[in-house]
Amino acid sequence: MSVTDSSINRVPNYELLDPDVRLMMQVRQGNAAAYEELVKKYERRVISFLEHLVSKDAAEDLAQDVFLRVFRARETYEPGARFSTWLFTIMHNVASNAIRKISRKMEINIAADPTKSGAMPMESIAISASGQMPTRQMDSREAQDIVRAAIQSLNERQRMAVLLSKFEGLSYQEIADAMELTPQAVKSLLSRARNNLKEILEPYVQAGILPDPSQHPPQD
Amino acid sequence: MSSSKPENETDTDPLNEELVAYLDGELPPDRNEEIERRLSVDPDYRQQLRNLEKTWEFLDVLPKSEPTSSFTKSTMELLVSSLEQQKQKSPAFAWRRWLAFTIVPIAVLATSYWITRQVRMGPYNELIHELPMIENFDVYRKVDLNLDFVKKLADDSDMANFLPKSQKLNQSEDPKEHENALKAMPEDQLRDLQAKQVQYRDLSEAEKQRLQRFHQLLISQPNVDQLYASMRSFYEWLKTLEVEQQTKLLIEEDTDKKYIIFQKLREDLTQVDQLQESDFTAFSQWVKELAEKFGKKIASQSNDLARRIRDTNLRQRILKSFAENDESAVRAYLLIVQPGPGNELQTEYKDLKSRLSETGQKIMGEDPQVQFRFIRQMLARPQIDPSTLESFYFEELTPEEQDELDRLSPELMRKRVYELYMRRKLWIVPQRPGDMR
Repeated sequence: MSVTDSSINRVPNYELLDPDVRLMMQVRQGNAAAYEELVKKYERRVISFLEHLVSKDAAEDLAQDVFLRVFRARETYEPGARFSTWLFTIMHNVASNAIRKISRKMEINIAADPTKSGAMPMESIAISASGQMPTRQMDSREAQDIVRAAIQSLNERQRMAVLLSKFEGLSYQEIADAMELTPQAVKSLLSRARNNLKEILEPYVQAGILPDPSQHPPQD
Repeated sequence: MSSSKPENETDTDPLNEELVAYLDGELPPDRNEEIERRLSVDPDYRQQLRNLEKTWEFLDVLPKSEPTSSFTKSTMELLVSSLEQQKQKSPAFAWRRWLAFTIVPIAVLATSYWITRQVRMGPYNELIHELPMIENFDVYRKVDLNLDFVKKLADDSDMANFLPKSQKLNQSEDPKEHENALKAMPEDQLRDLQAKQVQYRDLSEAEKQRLQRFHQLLISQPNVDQLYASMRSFYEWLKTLEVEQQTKLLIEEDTDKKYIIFQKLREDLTQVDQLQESDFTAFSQWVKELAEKFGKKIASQSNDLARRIRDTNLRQRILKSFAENDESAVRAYLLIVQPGPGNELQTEYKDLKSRLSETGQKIMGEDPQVQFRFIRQMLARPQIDPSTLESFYFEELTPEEQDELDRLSPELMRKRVYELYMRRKLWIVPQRPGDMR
């Protein structure tokens, strides 16, 4: 949902506009119940997000890390944006650190055992897309695997931007705030990301293998 | 039905950017109208839009995750536990356990109490409460939280010979004392501590708890001061090692084996430390001459040689250096080729030996394996000119890497740039980079 309002030129009063900012201000004052409410409110979104951005196994631990950082940062918190934008900034940092650690581990594993291939699942999927494309329509789990692999094949920044745009409905400005980029950079990042996704998923779309999204409305 | 046009689109096509922004509702009204006008007349453009839309919609097949039912509760408990650790000693374990089995409101009450307290403590709060951990977490990590290994170090009578300095462990749990210690701290020391605080914050909660447990275990030992002094000395000594040598020691988990490696390294290094400046000069000269003699020949075998390197990134870097620089090719060759029938440099090893000081000749020994190790050690101890490091930083590191380095303290940054230089230019590669931080 877009929050742009051309009639407002000054910095919006987020404390007034965003109930979660008000909750966070209470956390800043030392209100633990407000903190718990924020955790409850955002846990699902944060875990989902980290699952797609990093990995399913690590998502809950990382989500706890995110919430602990929210708590630790309460003293310096200033309501300069929607609460969710601020939360996603923290999440971005936590996820980036985790991804770096994982890729370092992968490097070491590959170096230690040359028989282990570091191949992404997308590689095998891409091969089947060009060569042995299955003719039946896939079930939802297989479709999920393909989409998950397509998202994983994006670089970290593109993945982050896609997740914020697609699943969090953030505007370019809000994504820019969360990722510390300019809105123009977000525009170009998302354009590249969506093109990459198109390239990967199009063979499945054209062969009619992925379930028709119009027949499978998005799950909430 | 397929359209060839979208296939030819480049990643940075501004029209495509506009189309994506149009789909996202991010265009101003006039640009919106322009896109719509084009869509109404251009079927390929319409197809491109449909394809983008469809692939975007497919992302909806991803399910939303359900957190485990106890997520909020365990997060609150983790918070309480993390706050509690700043204050409580280990006997509070029973209290934590009790907490774990109580309902959330109790956790909330406890949290509320702590939050109020924390808010009052101001910006140095974390530093005050976690002072011993922030001061020592890197020291603890370098001994892999292995108290048996620390005990072995403390029992080592030779340790005293190379102890750089000894410090006492801050065992106090009293925030007031921590606060006073911080107030008395010189400014530069405080800045270093704050840099460490940032690193400490990045550790996972599980790791912090492991460190905390080790700290408690350490202070419960009757000879804690002696253990801490040994550990600290080991840490300082470790810093003088090259990355590869550090890694060798740090990756070993078995206490006895780790200790044997430590003794061996100490012995080797004591030997290499005895070398004279003329030995290092002779070595550099020897490498230069080899480059003139064999550089091109070695470079021509670069593919075969590099195949022996399993690490793909390292292989790429070595291949690049083979292609660019004869001396680098020789350095890589010396690093890769183990002594044996295929090693044509046996005669050259003898030549090198003849140029060294008496000590150097003794260390290099007769055994080709020892000679090979000696040469690798010499390769791993280059004195890198600061200006070389500076141009490496500016010219060869990516902006992201530079950003990451800029965030470190100057000392850590220099160390990291040096490590990167070693890895990329001289192929001295830590096997577990995560440990080298």
